Amino acid sequence: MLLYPEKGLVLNPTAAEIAKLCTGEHSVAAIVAQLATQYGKDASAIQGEVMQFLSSLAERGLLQEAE
Amino acid sequence: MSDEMRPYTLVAELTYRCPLRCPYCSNPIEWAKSKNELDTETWLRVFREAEDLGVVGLNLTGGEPILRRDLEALIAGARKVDLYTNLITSGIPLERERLASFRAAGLDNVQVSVQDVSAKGSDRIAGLESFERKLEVCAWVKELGMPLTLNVVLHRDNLGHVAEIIALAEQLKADRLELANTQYLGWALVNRRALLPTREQLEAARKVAAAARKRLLGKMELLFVTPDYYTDYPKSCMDGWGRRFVVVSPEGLVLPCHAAHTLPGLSFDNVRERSLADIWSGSPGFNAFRGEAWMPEPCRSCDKRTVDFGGCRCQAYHLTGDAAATDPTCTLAPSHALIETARGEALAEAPPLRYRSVKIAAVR
Repeated sequence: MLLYPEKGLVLNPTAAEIAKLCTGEHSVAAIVAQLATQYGKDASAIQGEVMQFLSSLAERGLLQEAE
Repeated sequence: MSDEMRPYTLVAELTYRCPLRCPYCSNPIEWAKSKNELDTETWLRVFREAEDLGVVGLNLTGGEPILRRDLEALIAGARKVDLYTNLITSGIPLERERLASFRAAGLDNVQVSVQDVSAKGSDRIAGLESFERKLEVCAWVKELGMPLTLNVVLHRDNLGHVAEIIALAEQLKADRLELANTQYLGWALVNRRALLPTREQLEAARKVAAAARKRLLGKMELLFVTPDYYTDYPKSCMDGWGRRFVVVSPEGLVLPCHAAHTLPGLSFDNVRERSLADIWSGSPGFNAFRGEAWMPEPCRSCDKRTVDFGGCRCQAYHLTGDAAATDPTCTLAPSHALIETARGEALAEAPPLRYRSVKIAAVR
């Protein structure tokens, strides 16, 4: 569960994996590459899904660009 | 106990004491004296028991929670059981060092209230010179690397300032802005004639807020809470009685909402005597308005009963005298004329504010 003021998002296991990688140290490409390896899939096949999830976090103000 | 009745949030009202005297305070008018407050150990046990019950978030509130000298220890205890901890404060009285120690203890978020957008307007409502200091506290929150929620309670004297309030929140780099219209219970009900806005005022402010919400998407979360005196159907108060929230009052009463102990004929248990889990599942007060068996018509056969859960029990009691009545803010309620009358009063000149005080005799 991802908690923030007055709310929480129940994440499925893959979403949780993505969120855990959002530490400010990995680029989006690196996150996609790592998950592709982990799940044995092509990076191009999961790129869209990862971007969609990251955008939904950003819209909620839960994701900031690393400095 | 089914997931249908799992508390996600513990609202810990650490004290009813407060240096501010806001005339819309949601604390009960006959508030308890501070000598009966729970001690540190009991609160820490409540946090552990809440976590066992499935609670994930903790709101530390009051009164003014920073008046508790053990707040650092309470935050550390909440962190230990992994609760997401939000401090709801007026920011008075607070030093930067103490806020830093809250941060070090594991505080996750700070919500600071201001009462208006200028010192004059804000201090008039607070009944205390405090606005400039509150802005300083907001800056410290951000400097210390914590997310900031700015909360402003809206009423007829500040609804016209919503655009300026949003600009202030942006300037303070708030992550979330709560524009929360007054809920007319507690002191706010005493002052309703002085606070309730007209529909025109409300609509104008709502438009400003809606435009800003779009513009600020991803930068600041903007919440505009409509007063239920101007909605057709009631709010799902507390997401339903005894479903998602558990409130513990300063003296240890375990309640489904901040004002449930103002309802006559209900018995609530004290966390000094029973465990939180026992009370959550077995307390007669908690079970009084769970489910649908208690509902009168028109709620009982209404297709919105699973959306609003019959609305607010406290509002029903304080306006109609019957806690089991349909919430009068519902247009289908037999008592809805009470709300129409109140809206009519909003067109008249406002009487003077009655400030929150200990001397309740003066109010009655």
